[in-house]
Amino acid sequence: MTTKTIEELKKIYRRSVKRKVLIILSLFSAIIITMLVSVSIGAGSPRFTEAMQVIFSKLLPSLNLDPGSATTQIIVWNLRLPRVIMAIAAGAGLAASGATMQGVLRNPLVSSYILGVSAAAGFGAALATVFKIGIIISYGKYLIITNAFAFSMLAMLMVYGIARIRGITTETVILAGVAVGYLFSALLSLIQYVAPQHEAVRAIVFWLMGGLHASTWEAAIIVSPIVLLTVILMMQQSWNINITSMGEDVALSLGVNPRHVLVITMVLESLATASIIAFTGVIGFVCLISPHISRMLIGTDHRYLIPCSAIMGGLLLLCSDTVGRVILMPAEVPVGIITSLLGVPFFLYILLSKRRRIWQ
Amino acid sequence: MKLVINNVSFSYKSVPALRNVCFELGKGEILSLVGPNGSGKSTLLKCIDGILKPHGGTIFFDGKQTCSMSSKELSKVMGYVPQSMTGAASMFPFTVFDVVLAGRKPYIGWSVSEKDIEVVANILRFMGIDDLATRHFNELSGGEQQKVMIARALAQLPQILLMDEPTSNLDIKHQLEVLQLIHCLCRNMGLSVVMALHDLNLASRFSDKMVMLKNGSIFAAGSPEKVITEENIVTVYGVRAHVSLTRLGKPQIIPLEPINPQPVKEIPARIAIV
Repeated sequence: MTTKTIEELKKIYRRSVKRKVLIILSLFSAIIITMLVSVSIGAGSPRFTEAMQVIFSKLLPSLNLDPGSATTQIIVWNLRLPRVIMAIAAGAGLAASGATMQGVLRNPLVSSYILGVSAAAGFGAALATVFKIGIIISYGKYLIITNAFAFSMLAMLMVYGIARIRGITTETVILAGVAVGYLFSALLSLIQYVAPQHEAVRAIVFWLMGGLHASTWEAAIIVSPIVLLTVILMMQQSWNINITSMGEDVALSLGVNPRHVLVITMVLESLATASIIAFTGVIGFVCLISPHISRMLIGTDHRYLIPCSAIMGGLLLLCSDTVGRVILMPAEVPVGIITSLLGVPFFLYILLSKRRRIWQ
Repeated sequence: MKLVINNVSFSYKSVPALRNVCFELGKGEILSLVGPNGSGKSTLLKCIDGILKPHGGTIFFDGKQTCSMSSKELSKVMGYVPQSMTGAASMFPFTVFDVVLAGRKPYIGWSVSEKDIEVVANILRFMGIDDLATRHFNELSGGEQQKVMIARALAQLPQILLMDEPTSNLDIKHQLEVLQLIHCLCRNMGLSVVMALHDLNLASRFSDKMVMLKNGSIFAAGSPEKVITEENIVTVYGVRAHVSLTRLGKPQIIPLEPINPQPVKEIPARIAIV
C-alpha cells in the first residue's frame, strides 16, 4: 500500500487523459495517411504523386496545379475518393453505433444490428429488387436505398413499441430486437424462396454481403453528414452512458434517467446504421469488433471510447476495402470478408495479450 | 439543513410498502432505519432521493418540497449509495477515479474542470482509497467497492447522504471503518446521514436517532435506548433477545430465539442424505 498526494492523483488523471487523446490523434493521422495511399493503389492506378495532384487541384483550384489526364481524374476523383470517404463514414458510423449500444445495453455481444436493423434493411432491399415495391418511392435508382432505410427505421420503431409495453429495459430491448430481427429474416428468406427470377435472388445475396463498390459522391455526401451528426450526438450522451452502466438507481440519483438515455441512443444508432447500410448493404463485424479493440486500448469511458471506436471503425473498413480491391486484382473481394479475415487475428492478438479482463 | 419527511406513503403496484412515515433530520445527524426484510427501508431511502415518487405525503428539504426540485438540483444536495454493487457492477469496467468522477455529473456538462479533479482527488485521499485510483472497479474487494461507491456519492458534495446497507458484504473491520468514516464526516463537516442497517448493534452504536419500521409503518422512533428494547424486538422481529448497555452507554442486543419457531419438518425419504 502506497498513499498518494493530491498532486500525484491529479497528475495520474491528467496523464491518462493525455494518453487517450494521443491514441485518438494517432489513429486519426493513420486514417489520413491510409486514405491518401488508398486512392493511389488498385486496378489502373496512377502514381501517388499524380493522385495527389488530382486531389489538390480539385480542392484548391487557386494553386493552378496540373490536374493530369482525364482518365486519372476520373479514377481518382470520381471512383476512388468517394469510395474512400464512404468507407471511412460507414466504418465510423457502424463502429460508433456499436460502441454506444454495447455501453447502453451493457452487453459485449451487441452490435449496431441488435435492433433487427440489418434483417429489416435486407427485407426492404429484397422487396424492391424482386417485386419493385417501395414504401417511400416506387421507382428509379433510389428504390432499394429508400426501402432499406425505411424498413430499418420500421424495425427500430417495432422494437421500441414492443419494449415499451413491458417498460424499456436493456433486457426487453435486446429480446425485442432479436425477435424483430428473426421476423424480418424469415420474411427475407420467404422472398428469396418465392422469387421468380434467379438474377434477383443473386442480387439480394450480393446486396446482403455488403460492399463499397457502388459508392458515389452522391452516397458519400448523403451519408457523411448523417454519420458526423449522429456520432457527435452519441458523444454528447457519453456521460449518461457511463453513469447508466453503474446501475439504474445510481443513475437516477445523479439525475440521469436510464430510459431516456436508451431511447435517445436507439434512435441515433438506428439512424446512422440505416443510412449507411441502405447504401452499402449489410457490412458486419466492424461494428462489433472496433468498440472492443478501442475499449482495450483506451478503456470504458465513453467520452473517449465513442470517438476512438468511430476512427478505429473507419480505419478498419478503409484498410479492408483497400486490401479487398488489391488482393485479387482485377477482381474484388467483398469488404465484409476481408474485414473478418483481417479483424479476427488482430482482435485475438489484443484480446490475448492484455492482462486485464475487459468485461465481466 | 433540515430534512422533513411528512406522511410519506408508497405502494408497488397495489402492495403498500410505506404507510404515513414521518420523521425529521437535522444537520450533522445520523439516522438509522432498521426493521425486518421487506419493512420498507430501501423503499423509503429511494423515495427520499426521488428515485421513487411517493404516492402520498411530502418531503421537505430546507422547507422546499423535493418533488418541485429538478433531479439535477436534488443530486447536488443528496447522495445515494445503493445496496451492494454486485448486480450493478458494470459490464465494462471503469477505473476507480472514473467511478468517483461520475459523482461530479450534476456539476459538469461534457468536459471535466480543474475543480472536479481536485474534488475527486481529495475524496479519494479522505476515504483512504488513493492507492486504488487507477485500479478497475470490478477488480476490487467488496469493502473497497463500498468505499468507492461512498466516495462517488461524496463527490456530489451532498448535504445528505442516503445509504442502503452500507455494511452488507463487509467483514467486521471494514464495517467499522466505513461507519467511522461516516461518523467523522457528520461530526466534522455537518453531513447528515440516513442509512438502512440490518445490524442493530452497529445501528445503536453509530446513530443519533433510529427509526424502526414494521410493514411499512414506523413502529418506534427516537434515541437508540428508546428504540432498541426487548419488547420492540419481540414485536417487530418476532425474536426474543437480551438487551444490555455497553460500556459506550448504547444498548446492545443478543438475539436468543424466534418466538413461534417453525416446526421442524420430517425430511422426506427421497431427499434424505443418509
